[in-house]
Amino acid sequence: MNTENLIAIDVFCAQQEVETSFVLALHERGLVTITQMQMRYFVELEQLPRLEQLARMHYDLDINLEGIEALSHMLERVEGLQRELRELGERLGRYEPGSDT
Amino acid sequence: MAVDYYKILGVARDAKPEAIKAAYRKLARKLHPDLNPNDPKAKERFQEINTANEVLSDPESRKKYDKYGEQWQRGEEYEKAQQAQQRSRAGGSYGDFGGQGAADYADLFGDLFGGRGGRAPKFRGQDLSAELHLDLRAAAKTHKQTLTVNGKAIRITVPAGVANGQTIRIQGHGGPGANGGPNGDLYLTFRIAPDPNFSRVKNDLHATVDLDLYTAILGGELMLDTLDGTVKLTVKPETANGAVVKLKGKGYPIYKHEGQHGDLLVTFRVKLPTGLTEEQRVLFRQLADQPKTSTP
Repeated sequence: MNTENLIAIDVFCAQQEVETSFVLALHERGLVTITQMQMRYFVELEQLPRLEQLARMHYDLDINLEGIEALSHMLERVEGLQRELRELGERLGRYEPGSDT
Repeated sequence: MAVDYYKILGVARDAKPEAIKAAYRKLARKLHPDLNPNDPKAKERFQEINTANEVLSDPESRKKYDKYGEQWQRGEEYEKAQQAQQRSRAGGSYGDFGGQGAADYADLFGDLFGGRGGRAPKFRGQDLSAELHLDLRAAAKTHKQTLTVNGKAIRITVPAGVANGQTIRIQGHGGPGANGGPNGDLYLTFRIAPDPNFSRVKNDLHATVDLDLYTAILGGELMLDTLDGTVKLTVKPETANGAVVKLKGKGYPIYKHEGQHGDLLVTFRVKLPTGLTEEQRVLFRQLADQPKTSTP
């Protein structure tokens, strides 16, 4: 397995000053995906921004895991709606004068 | 004072540290950029409450702020200048700087240098926002770009297929942290300028091509400019005005899906000939006199 794109959870936790149990709890709730290899847990580099965001919610904003779970779903919806709005705006722009090419 | 940190946090001037902390947390939960994606107003407000909290949650800076107001960080040097000026005078009062007496300043410095118990709180630096303007063709290719944010040059890789209005976070390139806290992040929003030839909808590109009447009726070939070069396009006979052809995979690169592209949709705009010669008129009349064929 390619390990170049993985970061060990204990390394992440030490750098970010978060508990390993917190990351494991996120994994249990399906909010991040972790991989186990030779008794160590890893997370894909691509997921780091997400993991950091969830850690900020918990440690900076005092939001518990249930709250984080609910917020994650709401944020996904918000981002989806924003994306849709942007796309509709672009589609609408095609019919505005001077944008027929 | 121009900026009232107490007002920003919605607390009284004599609020206890716990009340300040609670007010900050409440507002942070409401305005944190993580919870308000792509909302520049919330981000701006969050930066304000962050600054207010940084000042008011630290007893030393709060005291200075109470005394000097918004310019509290420069208050000390201002005061030293005042004292030097005072010494150069023969007696007199401390001037008009807040009407403070010597005893008050002694109290202030006693507090400032008296040593505060516990560890100084760490503060994360402010998040910064910036915009990167690209044209549609530049945004279609993965490329390196150097930005200057707050005087610092940052080299980033712009992945092919970024969308207009899309924001990415560049960790650690925001404002510097205080007391060993981490730097804030830089939120970079892409602004993609419209292209004169293509408009983009999701990953598809749309283009309009003018077609002369004869090619529209009889069919033919034309050369079409795409994002990755010119392609030969076959026009079917009897192509109607407004007909659309789809060129699969000739559209916009799909963000973070290397090698994958949307489609290019070409709309034909049939142009009628003008300035006909007499001979052409005759030929058109002859055509018009022919038995009518079906029209779609």
